[in-house]
Order: sequence, then C-alpha cells, then structure tokens
Amino acid sequence: MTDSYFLQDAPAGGPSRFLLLNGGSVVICGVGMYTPAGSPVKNFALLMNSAKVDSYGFNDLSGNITGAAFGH
Amino acid sequence: MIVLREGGSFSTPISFAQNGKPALLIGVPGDVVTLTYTGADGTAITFDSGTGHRMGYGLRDVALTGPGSASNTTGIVFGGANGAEGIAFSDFKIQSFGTNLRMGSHTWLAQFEHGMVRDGGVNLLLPSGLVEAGEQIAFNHVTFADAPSPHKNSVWVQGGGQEVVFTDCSFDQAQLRVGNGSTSGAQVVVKGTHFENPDYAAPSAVAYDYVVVDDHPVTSSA
Repeated sequence: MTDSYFLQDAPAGGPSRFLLLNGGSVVICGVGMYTPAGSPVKNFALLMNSAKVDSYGFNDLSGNITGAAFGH
Repeated sequence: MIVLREGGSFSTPISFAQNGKPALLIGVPGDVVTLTYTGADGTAITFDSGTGHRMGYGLRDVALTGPGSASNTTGIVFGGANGAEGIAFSDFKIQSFGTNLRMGSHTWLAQFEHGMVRDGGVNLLLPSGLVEAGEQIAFNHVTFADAPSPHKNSVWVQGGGQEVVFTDCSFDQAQLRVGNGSTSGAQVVVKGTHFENPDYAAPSAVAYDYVVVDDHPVTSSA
C-alpha cells in the first residue's frame, strides 16, 4: 500500500482504527491519515495473530492516535 | 461492436458467451446511456467469450443500474467457462445490484478504467475457487462507494492465485477485504488511493474497518 490516504469524517464517535490485519504481511509506504480532534483513533492498524507490517513514511496528519499507530 | 445511442430497460439477462466472439458495448458517458435491469434475479450482463489474446472488448461509456442492493442479482460477470482475457471497461458505472461486478474463471489482463461501482450489496467480488483467474486485474481511478450498512466485504478479493492492483481509486463507505478466511489469500496492491466514510452520520456507518486482511499464509500484501 503506497501513497494513499485514510480520511475519517465523523467529528465524534468515529472508528477505533482504519485497518484490521488478522494475518498476512502488509508493506505501507507514504500513507497518511486524518481524523477530527473529537474523534481520535486508538490505532491506525490493529495487528492480530501473525500479521506483519513494514512501514515507511506513515504520517498521521491529525496527530490524533491515542495508542500505537500499529497496535497489537 | 454494439453502439448504444440511448438507454432503456431489460429483464432478460444478456450473455456474450460464445467462445471467440468478444463483444464491445459502447454508449455515451455521464449516465446519458443508462441500461436498467429489472429482472428479479440473474446476471444482467455476462462477458465470457474466451482467452484468445483478444484485447479491449467489454464496456465503454455505459451506466448499468439494477433493482437494488438487497436483490438476488449480479450486474456484470466477466469470465466463466470460456473466460475474459483482455477485457476492458472504461467510463462506466454499475450500481444497485446484489453483487455489482464479479469475476469468473479463465480471466486475466482485465482493466477497469475511470468508473464507479456503487450501492451494491457487494460492489466487487473476486471469488476464490476460480480456475485460471486473477493475473493483472487492474482498477485505475475507479470509485467503490455507498455499500449498504454495515459496509463490510464490499470490495472482496477472496484470492487463490489472484493479484489485484488498485491505482488512484476511492473507497467511500466501502470496505476492502483481502482473503477468504483460512481458504485463500491474495496479493493486493493499493496505490494513490483514498479511503473515507463520508456518510458517517448514517446508522452503523462508522463501525467498520476500511481495510481487512484475513489470516492466511499466502495473504501477502494489502
């Protein structure tokens, strides 16, 4: 996944994450996200089981992630 | 080649399934030529004309509308017993079918350019279990949108030898799922693509993951 953008519009009560990785391997390069101030996300992605992520240049444009960008 | 100068309604499925006889439907873009399928079930249009290295047939400048996302209908199937090697869609819209767009067997080098696939119970289904299908299935500047609540499994690449590329696409209220549980996985490339939940105020509109990858050993990239 490269050069892509994740936009969350709900001003409050939005989702806790954008990606749910139950397994597999994901390469993320140059990906951005934004969520409004009143609607923080806990993670950008939640990794389960043996899911793997290689991330290069992830950018949270909202500065509004309460946990790890890539949580387990 | 079939040139459509105006739209209309039809209830009998249309099938281009003669091996070696590819068909190209050409209309006028911008919903000027809209075909409305009124059948209660079945597949509105099937392209299943073979794998003879014929490139560029398919659909251009046509909108296809179905009877609703909850119906037992499919908008377009590409591939099948004969296949759909080299099929190409451009400037198209498919909307309001139970499944809007589905791949069948013997399909590779398929190109979908500048289109919209929306309001489908499933907007795009690339099912597992196909025979010789999945090489270079490419979507360029295609919007997948308005999946009914809860917006899950809207663009579903179930996998099994499939490699799918989404370039400059949009997923608005439409989840991208890769894999079919423990049955199969796929390689999916997403480039320059936008994910958003613009209908967040609707019931259950925020309770879905934009992208889900299933747990399977060959699920390699999303």
